Amino acid sequence: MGDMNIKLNKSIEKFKYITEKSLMGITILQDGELKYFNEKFIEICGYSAEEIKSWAPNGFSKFIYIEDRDFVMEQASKKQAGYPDVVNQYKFRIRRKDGKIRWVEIFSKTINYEGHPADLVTINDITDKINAEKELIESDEKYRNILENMMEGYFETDLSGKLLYANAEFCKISGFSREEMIGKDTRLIYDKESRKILSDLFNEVYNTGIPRPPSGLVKVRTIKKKLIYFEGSLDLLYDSEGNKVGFYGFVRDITQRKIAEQKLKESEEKFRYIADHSLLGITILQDGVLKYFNKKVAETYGVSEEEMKNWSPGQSLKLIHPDDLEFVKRQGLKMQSGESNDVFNYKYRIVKKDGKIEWREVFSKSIIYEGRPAGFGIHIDITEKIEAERKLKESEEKFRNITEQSLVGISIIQDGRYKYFNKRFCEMSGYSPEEINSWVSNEFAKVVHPDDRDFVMEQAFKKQVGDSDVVNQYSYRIIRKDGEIRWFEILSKTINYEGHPADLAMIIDITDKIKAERQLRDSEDKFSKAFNSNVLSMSISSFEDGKFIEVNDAFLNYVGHSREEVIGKTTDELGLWVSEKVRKRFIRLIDKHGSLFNIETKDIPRTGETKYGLVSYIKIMLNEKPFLLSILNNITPRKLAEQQLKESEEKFRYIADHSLLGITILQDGVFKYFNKKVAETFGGSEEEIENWGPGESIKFIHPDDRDLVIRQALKVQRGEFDDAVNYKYRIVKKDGKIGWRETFSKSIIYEGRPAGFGIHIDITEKIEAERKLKESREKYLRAYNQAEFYKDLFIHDINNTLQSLYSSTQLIDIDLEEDRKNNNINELIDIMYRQINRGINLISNVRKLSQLENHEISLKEIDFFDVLKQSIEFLKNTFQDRNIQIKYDISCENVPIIGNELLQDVFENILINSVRHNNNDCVEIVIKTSHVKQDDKSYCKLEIIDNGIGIEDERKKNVLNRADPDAKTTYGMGLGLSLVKKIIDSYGGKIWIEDKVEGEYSKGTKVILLIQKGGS
Amino acid sequence: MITTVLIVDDDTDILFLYQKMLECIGVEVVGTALDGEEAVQIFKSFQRKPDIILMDHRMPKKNGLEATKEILSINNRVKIIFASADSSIEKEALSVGAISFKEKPFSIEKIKNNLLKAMNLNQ
Repeated sequence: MGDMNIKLNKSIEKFKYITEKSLMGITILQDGELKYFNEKFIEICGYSAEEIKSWAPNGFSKFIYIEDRDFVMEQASKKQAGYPDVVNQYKFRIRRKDGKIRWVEIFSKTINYEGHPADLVTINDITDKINAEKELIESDEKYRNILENMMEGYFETDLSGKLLYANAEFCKISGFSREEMIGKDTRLIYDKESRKILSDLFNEVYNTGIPRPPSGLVKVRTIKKKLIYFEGSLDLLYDSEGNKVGFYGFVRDITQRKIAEQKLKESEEKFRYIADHSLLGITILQDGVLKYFNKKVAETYGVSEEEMKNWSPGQSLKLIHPDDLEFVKRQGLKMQSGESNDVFNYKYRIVKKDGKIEWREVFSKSIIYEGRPAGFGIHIDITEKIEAERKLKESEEKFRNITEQSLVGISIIQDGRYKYFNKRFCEMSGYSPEEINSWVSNEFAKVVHPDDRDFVMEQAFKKQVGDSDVVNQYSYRIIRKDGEIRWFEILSKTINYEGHPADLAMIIDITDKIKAERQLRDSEDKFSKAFNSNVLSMSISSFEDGKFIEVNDAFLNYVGHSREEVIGKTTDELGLWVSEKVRKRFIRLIDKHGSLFNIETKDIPRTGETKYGLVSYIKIMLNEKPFLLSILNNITPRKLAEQQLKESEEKFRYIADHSLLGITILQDGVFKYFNKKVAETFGGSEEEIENWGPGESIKFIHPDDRDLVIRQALKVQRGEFDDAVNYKYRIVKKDGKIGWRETFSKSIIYEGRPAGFGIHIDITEKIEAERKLKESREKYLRAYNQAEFYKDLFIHDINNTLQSLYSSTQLIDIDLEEDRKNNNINELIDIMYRQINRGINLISNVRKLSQLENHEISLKEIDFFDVLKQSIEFLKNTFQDRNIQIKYDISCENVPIIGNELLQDVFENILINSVRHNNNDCVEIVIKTSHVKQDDKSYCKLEIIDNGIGIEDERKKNVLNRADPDAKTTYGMGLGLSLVKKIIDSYGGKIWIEDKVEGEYSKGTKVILLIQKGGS
Repeated sequence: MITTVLIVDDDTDILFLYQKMLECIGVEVVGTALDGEEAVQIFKSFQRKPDIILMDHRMPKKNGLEATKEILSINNRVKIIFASADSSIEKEALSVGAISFKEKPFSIEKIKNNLLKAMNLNQ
């Protein structure tokens, strides 16, 4: 037992050692755990033993590559469970701990391990093997790929000739598919003859062991009748031991090349024949020598072929015309040098052996001949062509010259464009040749007038396509470049131009003709209208018998016949002349003079009315026969109007002559007409006025109004007054009296020229009445204003007086009622007396002013000094309580003056003012008198000078003016100095106020009076 | 306080009568002027301005309207009563600042009423 155990243990250790050191990975998988694993397993998966042991159940799945994981885990589960349906050997990928992917192959099966089923797995890393296989496959594929894509056919057979492999190109060359050939005897695809050739070839290689070189050529034909030229190699295939096992070979299909070579050869022969027998000269020039030339060349140069063959280099140039030699030489060298592949074409002359000059045209090209550049040339004898061209050119120039010089526009239209047009055509259209040439297809339509365009374009189109249904001649309008519209007449037809139909057109400008025709038509129409519609009676009758051939409506109307009654009848038959004898006499006169004009006639035609006419006769020639054209102006209405006018004129002349208003027609400064009233106005006779020269009438105009009257007269005579204008002025009559006139004048046409028509009214009385009315109005207004002024003054001053009286009375009442001792009764009574006197004076003054206004107080001579003395006496009595000193400086005592009793009021007013407006204890008054002369009048000058408060400068005039409001307040009931001035004015005297001391009004006042002296 | 009045009129009799009338009413006449210019000068000279001015219109040098405008431009508290025989200037007098217009002739009672009204306005 012990030995057994020892042996067993040794055996276990041995197997353990073997498994541990196994070159294959070994593991036992049970319940998802790796119950055992050896070192190789650890190496394959890359995890440590500790890491593997720490894996959770089925944790080993993480080292299985994810794409293979499901299958491997399924197999592992089945084997751990002891299922029979498992795969024992398979390959899969693992992901090592270091992340590398490795291929492994396992062999696994279910075992009983420690009493339970488990999965015993042997695992081997086959990554390198897999990679090697892959590389092999790739290498094989690459090799196959090369073979498959080679441009050469490749095949392999066994020794019996059975085809083992054939690439795509071989299949293509042979014309059989791979399926048709693989595994079959290769020779069977060829015909009998070809099989023999190929058998001999294979046998030769087999027997000699010498491979057939790549340039070997074989001609075969397949059973599909395809001819194949092979070019290629054949060699033996040996096995690894050096035994002959088959054949392989490379082939190229050169069938096409072979065919081409054959064809080329045939072609060369054919073309050589053609070249040799060509009607064109053909040469190949190399190194200055003609390497080839055909018969035609020899003929061309007029030499034999033998001669030419013996030509030395450059000798052919001797035949070239000297003028063309350099050019030809240069071209020849260029071609021989191979400089250009282009074909050159040029012409030149040759001088033949017989001295004849001919033209040649050469088409030359560089070619490679016998491996080197050469010049290939085709030579054409163009002598006849050149001659023909020359003649054609001459002819063309001749005809071109004709068309260019033509007065008719000529054009050829093809494909909608002008292919030809002459100079005249350009002139007619107004476009330059460049412009016409630049027109695109059918652009010429723009030149055609829009109204004619459709027709013209249709015709042009039809003629360009050769349509037979066309109009060859018609007229149309064009619009020239400058916009002018012209009429053209066109003659056109289809022609063949450069091989195609075209429209040849000849165009004539008929604008002037059309205009002339139109003018002629208009003229005819005009003259026909002038004849038929003329208001003058017109007729044409024969000289011979007076037979009417044409009359107008006015004539028929005049004679009172219808056209049918007149045409073809003689004047005698119609009774239009007094007698045929008279008519004949007139005819003789007209025949002699050609015409007779304005013969006044008085006829009583068929209507029975008397008619007046002015007739003119003119001899005219119609169809070489004389006729009488008579033109009669029916002047009956004019005659009647003249009569009526005469009657009317007489009537109106009578009215004008006897008018109560002056009537004139003034022209060139002369009265062309004036009536009696005008003569009366100036106080002269009609004869005198008739004899007035131009402008002489102005002497009767008042000097102050002459400018106005002359200005108006000139304007009206110039025709400036279409409408009547009126103005007033004064005249100085012959007797010197001044009278007023009002003139209404208007421009008229008198005897064909402007004139002034005037109606003159004597307004002297009216003016006088107006003047008086105005004066009266002014007087009334003055009187009214004065009355208003007096009323105002009166009311004001009376109210003041009444206020004093009223207040005084009330105060006296109060004093009496209260019985006061210190009453004011006496003082108040004095005031009442004073105010009553003021009232009396006021009334007196107003009455005196009124008398003065109404001139009720007459003037007389009075002694002014007496009046002055009385006034001074009055002053002293009035102002007994004032110290008044009066000094006199009198030099005109006892001198009478012109005045009246109001003079005392003048003096008293002035003196009272001197006292009233004086604040000095002593009122000083100086009275001076002197003599003065002004305006041829003698005055007594009185100066009253005081030492009162004075009057400011601005008030000095106003105090004398009754309209001055300040005057109302002046003492003396407000009328004092106004009354004084009024009185002095009524005496024809003067009054003014000055300062006592000039420039110092407060020193006192000086009142100065000038009163006319009496007794003169 | 006693009402004070300045009287303006170019008629010396009327000035005298106005003074007497106003004394009867119990009003103190603080000054008189014979024309508008004098009225302006006197008014300017017053330390204590009168309460009322009794103003005539038609006067030498400066009329009542001109004097009123000038006085009111100096002191617009003074009451001016126009007393004139010229009724045509009533509207103009009121428009330039007079408080009332009395047309001559008028009674002592009338002028008294006017003065009282003026004084009430003042209070």
